[in-house]
Amino acid sequence: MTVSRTQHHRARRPAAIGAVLLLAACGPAPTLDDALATVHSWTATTTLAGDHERSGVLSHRLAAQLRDRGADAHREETQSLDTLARSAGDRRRAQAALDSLGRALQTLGAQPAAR
Amino acid sequence: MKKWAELALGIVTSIGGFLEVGSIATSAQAGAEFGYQLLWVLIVGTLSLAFLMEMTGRLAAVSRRTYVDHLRQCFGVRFFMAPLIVVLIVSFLVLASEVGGVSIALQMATGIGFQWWAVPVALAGWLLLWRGTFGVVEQGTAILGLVALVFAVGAVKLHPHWGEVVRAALPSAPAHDRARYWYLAVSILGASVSPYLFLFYSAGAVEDGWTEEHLLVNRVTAGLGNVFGGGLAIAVVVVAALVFSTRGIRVDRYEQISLLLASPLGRAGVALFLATLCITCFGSTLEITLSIAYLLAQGFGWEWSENLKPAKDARFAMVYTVVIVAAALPIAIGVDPLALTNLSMTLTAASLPLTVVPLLVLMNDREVLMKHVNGWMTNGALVLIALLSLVLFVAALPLQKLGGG
Repeated sequence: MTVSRTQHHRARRPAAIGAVLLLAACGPAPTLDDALATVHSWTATTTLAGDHERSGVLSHRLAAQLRDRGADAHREETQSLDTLARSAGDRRRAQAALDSLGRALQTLGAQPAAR
Repeated sequence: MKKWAELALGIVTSIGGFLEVGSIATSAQAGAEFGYQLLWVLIVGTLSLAFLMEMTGRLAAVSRRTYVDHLRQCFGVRFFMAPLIVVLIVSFLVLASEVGGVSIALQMATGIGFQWWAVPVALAGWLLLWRGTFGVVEQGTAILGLVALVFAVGAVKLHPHWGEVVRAALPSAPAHDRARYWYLAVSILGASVSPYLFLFYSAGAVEDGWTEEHLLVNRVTAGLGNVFGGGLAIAVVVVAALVFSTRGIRVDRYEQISLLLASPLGRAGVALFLATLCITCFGSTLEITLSIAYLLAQGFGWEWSENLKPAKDARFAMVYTVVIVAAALPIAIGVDPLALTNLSMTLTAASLPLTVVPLLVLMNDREVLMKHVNGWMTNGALVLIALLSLVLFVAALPLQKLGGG
């Protein structure tokens, strides 16, 4: 009886491990709204940082780092939006958001990192 | 007079040592994405930590032995191996996150990539541990950590609607992104109630030679110190809500958090934020490294004290030497510090039952604590914290997958 219960538990173990691994592998699929929210967030970040840089609150060095991270986000989200935007309307929204981020990035950290 | 000085120092140490990479990151994320709505979780986390620290401090002061010592003796070596291994892994990840926090602060200040700072930060920490005493490590970094009060100043200068802040002390359901909301709640609890905090506190009580005479100091330090420290984390949420949430900014990178104090405090705010991140994370780096060394030394019965010369407790010194250098490696090879922080906070939350549930037995053991066993209030609080830790154990990893982003 004890042996069979032990064997039963052993047989269950791979299933339990499999369930945990499956759970670990199955995150929610990214959506268009998630990707757009990320782009809008970086546009707002870059705009705020640009305002602070122009008023001398933020150093050009730090502004340049924010610009680089924003550019990373622009690159990553361009790829995501490419696959997530299915209709023509989605593609227009995605392009408008990416253009907006691109414009904000151009105004940030353009000065030499002197301060 | 001496008692008042001890009380003041205890409170200052708790306030200055409260904020660290996990609490700064999770509070900023919570404020940015959900405004004040997650403040109640911070309050639950802070109160839980205050109770756990008071209990482990009381246990150490009355018995003059650490919580880890009792854990091994009361439950046996076989049981003890489970919390030992889990706390070691989780604390190591949190330690690597703290090294990442210092490194990213130095990157933002100098422009030199964070990867290059990881090993120098670890070596500076090791040198301080090798040459310094417990007082230098605990109080020195905590007093410098008072720079974190800048968040309270920033919050006040932004003129929040205090009525809304107070209302957020009551739990409320999220209007959007439920999985993300509960994931951040778990992360905040992981950051607030890290096992290393009360293991370090318990070892510190023995290092400082606490006796039953220190029970008042213990109660005030754990209570008031954490309440004021938790107030700083609340200030981070308030600032993030007013600066980030209103603009639709989500925190995906540490560099974004550098903008938090620029709006209320200008250029000085940016500099003070970088100082806060650097100092508080460096202080936590030292505390977690010592905490891991204490855990192993106390668990295996080795000689241990930060106040002894390394030659007198060679195995203890060897552990902190190896651990602090090893923790620098993930950051040195470029692991994203914010992603590491979020993961380590979730795992910390999931690991809590192993260190919290045994306290239910230990804190009611009259042979150890005599008349100082838990009363109905502390037992009630401990049962609630234990239940919360079990919920976190079940929910933390699924929420990491569903809401980790």
